[in-house]
Amino acid sequence: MTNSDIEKVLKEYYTAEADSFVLPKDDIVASDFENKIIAAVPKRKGIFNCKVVATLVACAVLLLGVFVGMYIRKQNNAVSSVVSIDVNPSVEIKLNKNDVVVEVAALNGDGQDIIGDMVLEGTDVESALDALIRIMLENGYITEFQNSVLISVENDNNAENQDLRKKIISIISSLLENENTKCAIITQRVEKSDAEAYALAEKFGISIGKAQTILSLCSNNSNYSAEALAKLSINELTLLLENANAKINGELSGSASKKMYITALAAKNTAIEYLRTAHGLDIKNHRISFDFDNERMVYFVTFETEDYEYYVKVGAVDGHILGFGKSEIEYLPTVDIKIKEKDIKEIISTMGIPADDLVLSVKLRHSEGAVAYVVEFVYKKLMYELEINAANGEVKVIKWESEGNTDSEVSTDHSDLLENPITEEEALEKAIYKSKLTPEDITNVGIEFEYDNGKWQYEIVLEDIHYEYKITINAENGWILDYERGWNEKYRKVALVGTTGNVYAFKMKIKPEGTGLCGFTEVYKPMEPKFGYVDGSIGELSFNDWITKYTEEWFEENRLFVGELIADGQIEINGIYIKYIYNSTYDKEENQLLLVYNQLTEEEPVREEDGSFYGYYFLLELPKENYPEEYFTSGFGRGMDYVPEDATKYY
Amino acid sequence: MILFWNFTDPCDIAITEVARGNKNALELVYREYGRMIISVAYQITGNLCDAEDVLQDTMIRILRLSHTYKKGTNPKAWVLKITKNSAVDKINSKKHALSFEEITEQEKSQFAFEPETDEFILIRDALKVLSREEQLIVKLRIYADLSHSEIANMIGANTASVRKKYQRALEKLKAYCEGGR
Repeated sequence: MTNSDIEKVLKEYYTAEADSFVLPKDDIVASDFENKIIAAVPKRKGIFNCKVVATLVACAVLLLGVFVGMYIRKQNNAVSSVVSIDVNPSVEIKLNKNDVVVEVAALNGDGQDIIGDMVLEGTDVESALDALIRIMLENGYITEFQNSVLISVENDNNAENQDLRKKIISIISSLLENENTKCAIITQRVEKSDAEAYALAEKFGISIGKAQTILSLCSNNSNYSAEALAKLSINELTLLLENANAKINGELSGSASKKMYITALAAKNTAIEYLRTAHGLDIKNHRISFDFDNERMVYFVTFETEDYEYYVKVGAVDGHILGFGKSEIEYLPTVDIKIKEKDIKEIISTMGIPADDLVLSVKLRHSEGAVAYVVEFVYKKLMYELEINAANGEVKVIKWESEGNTDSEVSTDHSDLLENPITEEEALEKAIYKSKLTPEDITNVGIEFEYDNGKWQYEIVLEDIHYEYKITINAENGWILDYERGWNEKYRKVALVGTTGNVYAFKMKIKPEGTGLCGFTEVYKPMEPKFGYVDGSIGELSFNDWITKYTEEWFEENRLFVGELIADGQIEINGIYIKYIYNSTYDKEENQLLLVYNQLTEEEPVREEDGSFYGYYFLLELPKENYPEEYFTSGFGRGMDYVPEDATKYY
Repeated sequence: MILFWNFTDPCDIAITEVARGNKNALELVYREYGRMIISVAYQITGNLCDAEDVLQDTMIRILRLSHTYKKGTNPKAWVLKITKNSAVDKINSKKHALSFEEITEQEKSQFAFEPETDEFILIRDALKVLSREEQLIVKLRIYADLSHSEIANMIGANTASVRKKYQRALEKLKAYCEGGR
């Protein structure tokens, strides 16, 4: 039996199955569909009945409209513009070129409730809008809490579109003025060619107008996702539009109601109270912003103390504290800045460089207890980096190098700077010889010509998949000034990304003080929702929570250590003996140490620049006597960096 | 030129006519695709009664969404995507009222199509081996004649995985049929 046999039988089977279905009303005609659409629309809810008088008025207007409309309808039935109204009920009205309603359709359940058994076809747009908005008011869809109306007009003719929008604004605002309701009205133009918006509308079952609004919000703020925004009401979207000052393809008049939410003042007070009680902080100056975050409307209260910038996230509806974070602020020490930015060029001129035409990049920075300008500029195809002390104008040359290989205009001929320099090729040859690499193994080469330590020199970086070699060669005589070899970070990082993709970096580190502690840092991105809020009041897990909940399984999953057992309680990893106290996590069959978290001690959490939580440093105890003294003297000893032997299998 | 006309699905024109306000054109769409819609809806909802509701809902949605149809694309894929959305909405609306177990229990008791020949009975039993998703993919590929990428777009998966699932489903069916003989 082949695939095509099966396909053939299946096709016959499916056809037979389909033939067994009886299509309802096989002799259907088009008019039946119209009836069905009306039948499919549920009757309006009971709240409406209590406002009998208003209904009668509306009906009277409508009836009149219907009779007039029916007459016109015969004359012209072609749709020239489509108007969609979103409050939460979404209703779409198709108009002909005389702005007479040709067709009305509900786009969601509330919209069906609004239309009910009303017949709006044939009325003019004024009466139709009047009726729809009135019903929305009466049924509590437009209230002082939810007062935003989104009107989207689809008409290819620019002028007609604009006129219709103006007309609609005046209809709605005059109507609402009479009702004493303040309202935010967004009118926007919908492009029929906007495939993205149509796709979004189809995907989430929302109106094209709402889809377009969501797209303009998303393009304004990359933190928003269309999916999350699709669930928001028009009022919430309008608030976000107002807050973000996002550009829309139309106009926004009035302001959306914030009565659903606690006031900014209340949010501020909540934040202050929380900081005082939970963190012992006393704040004075603050900024507050209204935003949408993690499917909630929130206030962000941010403020600065001397050393940190803090933020508190307060839920806008309930006033709950949803998050807290801090980030360090780098302050410049308070010294007299005597040198002004405009003096810098003068200082450079004194160095014998005509500074007038130079393009300078100047930054004021804190450097070694003083304040200095870091000045960068390019002169004679060389990149200069100077540090000018802001108090006394003292100049220090940090770097002076060829502009790198990216700029094709940089000459590799340095004879104007130096008599008889060795060429790049010669330098590279020497470097490769020194590194003992074969040319096939080299994955990357970088050459820089620079002035450093009073000498012109080539700095050559060679990489293979395991190591990175940095060889510095004197450009005058070709002597090798410096040679370093380290693990190639690129490959090592990839190797340790492991299976879950959460490991960001992994390093073993010797403490410089030589205390006998070896630390490995592991910094990784928070794993949502694991790094959610423990009790809602603190924005991160405590160390203890974290270590008991996630470390064991996480370490096991990722198998961070693969080492050889030397003696009971000791393990060797890349020639380094590590003592571990609990051997229960050592897998003797696999001869692997899976987990050493029992010996970890807490250090400061690692944070992102914005203060958000990132991870913890761990320290791991090592017996000092088992490995050479040199491991204790450097920062990141290259011998301590750990690469699993089977690293290739991870990438 | 004549060949070209033969390949064009009449519903392509019909749906664009509907978008222009010609509701009679919807009748053509109904006649052409009605059975297919109900068949696919039945596959998704597993219940003939719901499938009929979905058919009606789909026709209403076609009427409303006709302006989003791009002339010259595959109208069948477009209609079936609407069908799928409508059917999923139907299931979701029922979930609020009944728990999932209750629904499946009810649905099992209502079976519509009773095949008569041995070959069809074998196929019917073989299809039960497949997961619901696999059944849907096979039906869309063979009966509705959609391409893998159209199916992927419809059910929100990527083309490669649809192709793989389809191949695997066929292998399963083949294995069942050969084992059964």
